Amino acid sequence: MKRAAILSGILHGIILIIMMIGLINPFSRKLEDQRPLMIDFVDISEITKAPIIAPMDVMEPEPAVEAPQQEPEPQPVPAPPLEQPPLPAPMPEPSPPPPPVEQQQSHPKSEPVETPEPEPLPMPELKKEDPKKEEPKKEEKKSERQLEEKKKPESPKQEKAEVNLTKEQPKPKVNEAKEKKKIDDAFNDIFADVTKETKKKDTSKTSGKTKGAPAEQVGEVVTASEIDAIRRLMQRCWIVPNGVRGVRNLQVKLKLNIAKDGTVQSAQIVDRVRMAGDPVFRAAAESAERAIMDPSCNPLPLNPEKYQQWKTMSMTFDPADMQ
Amino acid sequence: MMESKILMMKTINQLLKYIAAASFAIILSNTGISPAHAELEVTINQGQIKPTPIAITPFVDKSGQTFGQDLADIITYDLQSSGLFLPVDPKAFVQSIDSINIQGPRFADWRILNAQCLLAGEVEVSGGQVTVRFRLFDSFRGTQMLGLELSVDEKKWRRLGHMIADEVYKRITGEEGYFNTLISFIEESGPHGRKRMRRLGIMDYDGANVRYLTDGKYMVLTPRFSPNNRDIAFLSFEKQGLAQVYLYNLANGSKKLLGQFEGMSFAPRFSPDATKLVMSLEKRGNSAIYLKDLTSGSLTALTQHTCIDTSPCFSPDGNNIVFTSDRGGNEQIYVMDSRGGDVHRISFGGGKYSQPVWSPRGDLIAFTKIQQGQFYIGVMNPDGSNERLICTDYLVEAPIWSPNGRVILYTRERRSKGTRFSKICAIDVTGRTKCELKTPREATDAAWSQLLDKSAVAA
Repeated sequence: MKRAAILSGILHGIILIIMMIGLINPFSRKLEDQRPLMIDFVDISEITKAPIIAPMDVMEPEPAVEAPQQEPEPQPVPAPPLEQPPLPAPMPEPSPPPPPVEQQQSHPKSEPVETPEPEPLPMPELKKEDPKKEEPKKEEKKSERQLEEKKKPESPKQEKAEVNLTKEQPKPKVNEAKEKKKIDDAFNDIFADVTKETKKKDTSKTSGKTKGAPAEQVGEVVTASEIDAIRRLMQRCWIVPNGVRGVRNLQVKLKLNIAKDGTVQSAQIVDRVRMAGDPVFRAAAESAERAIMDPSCNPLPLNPEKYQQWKTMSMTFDPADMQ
Repeated sequence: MMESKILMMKTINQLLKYIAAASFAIILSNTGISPAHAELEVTINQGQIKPTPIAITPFVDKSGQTFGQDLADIITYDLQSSGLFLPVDPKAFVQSIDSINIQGPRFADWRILNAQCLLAGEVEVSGGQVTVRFRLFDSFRGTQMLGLELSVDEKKWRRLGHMIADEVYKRITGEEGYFNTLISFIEESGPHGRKRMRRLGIMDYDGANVRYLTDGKYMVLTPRFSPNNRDIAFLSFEKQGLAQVYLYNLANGSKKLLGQFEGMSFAPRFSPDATKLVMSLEKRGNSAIYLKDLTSGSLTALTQHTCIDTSPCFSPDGNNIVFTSDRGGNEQIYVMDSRGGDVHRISFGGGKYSQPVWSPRGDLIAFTKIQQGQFYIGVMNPDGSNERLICTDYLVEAPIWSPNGRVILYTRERRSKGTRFSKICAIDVTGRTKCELKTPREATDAAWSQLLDKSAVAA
């Protein structure tokens, strides 16, 4: 009996330890990662606007992208029902969280500077709505934090602290002015620090996106259908070397430099050694090069917005399937 | 406390992220994948099987004769007949011929015509020599591909046209040309049957300069050029109506009987080094393959007289001989080594196979096939695999290879309104292009010489 009791105690202890360790690492990270993910969606939608504003120039989209970033902050307040009810939702998160009374005032100051004309009227609404918004968000964040902190802390004391926090959370909803100012201030200070950090992260990430890291790469990838279009065009111009000796081993690879309008400026045959020693390969390579330089196959059907992706390209001509 | 712990967690998280990013970057750099510099790759595996458009301009004739235009005509015929080139109509030329020679080609003017290549030059006659200077341009790439000066005796000026065509063919396809060659053939005339006259003729590739080597009194068959272009071996029925192999010397025009044999001797072919002749000898109703040494005169049997073995032909390396035999019941193709050993059958399709000829490249064997009463010319790999029938007609037979192994000449007989008519045709090894050779009358049994500029007779 004793043994069984000891064993069960040890096992329970192990399970407890595993739960502690297992819960801390994965979940805490995931929860933190979720926030930037939400903001990602906002930025992608903003970037999609950029090409419409300035489709031809690579440099222009950057300011165009920055502008919409600032817009969503004021937009949700004046016209939530119109276009971007989903978009503003994540964005305001970072902005409102700072301590309720003081930072609300700072917001209106910054916002009218960005978009002076439409805001004056909606601004008062902002003040009214913000606290309402803040409250649920605070709740959400606090509940998230509860989850985090429940998992993080290993001692029962910390759990108690969380409990206190959760108890305190509903109070700010009712408060905003009255009860337990000290506790609130302490909490708000901590919370403000945390949100500042998340804000910094968010802003850094959004600014990175506007310069084009993840979102723009997705848009700049040359699609399979675009490659197919090039292939179809080149098939019309390439006269296949057929019937020659060793035709199944006559793959010719060329490096192309392409102008922004899609016209091939130059083509270099990669295998220069074989080019010099094998007249049949040389003939096949020159035939491929003629196909590339054929006026009826220039310019290539390429999207100028993805110029960086295709300004150099390698093209292989393989006659093996045509015999 | 809370604040400091949260900060701790943040810093630890950030550290972990940096470590993860760094390790990812290291992995990428090791595997050679560089997402930022990944180059777009496109593979083209379909294209057009069509002739290359080429503009052949009349050469500027400094001697005031018509050589320039005549040479351009010969080159145009040669290249067009290969099926690999499409000469652009001279009426469409934008740039004048004189300005090409003075200013150089204006490539844009030729690109408009879709002329991928441009041939231009000048010809001069002096001291009994015709000299040509020509240049081949790639108008799409805007470069010169070839620039040569050639000269020959004025009497053989047509050779110049064929030589230029060969050079152009070689430069654009990468393979040797076959235009500066001779073609031997049996000219047929008169009513069909015993009274039909057959004489041995020889001509240039384009049907010019036809000469007859026999007078037509006796029936002649199956001419074969020696690899050095000095002799033609052929079959003649001069001696008591028996078919015997004769050698005709092209240099001095002499003719001699190869040897006294009991029965018929036929189907001769030279070895690649031109020192031996492999042929069939008939005895007691059966024929066997024999090797005749042309220097020592010795005769060696390679097969026995147990069945009908005929149509022997050396492989280009001289190590093997392909031949037809009915030892398996019906006519099939067999291969043996040059001493008569290691005999093995390579054709296993339906029908009868005959007249196998090994390609000068060594990669294919051409043959005649009769299946269900239909004649075909086909090719197969030397091991018998990958058999392809490339043409058919009322009667097709006697395939022979061009010197570069790219084209097959064969005899084609057609019937119309009760009459038969034979001509020699050329077909690309792919079977995609074919044309009829120019001959004065009906012609059969063609033989193709090697390139003339490589042989003793070329000059």
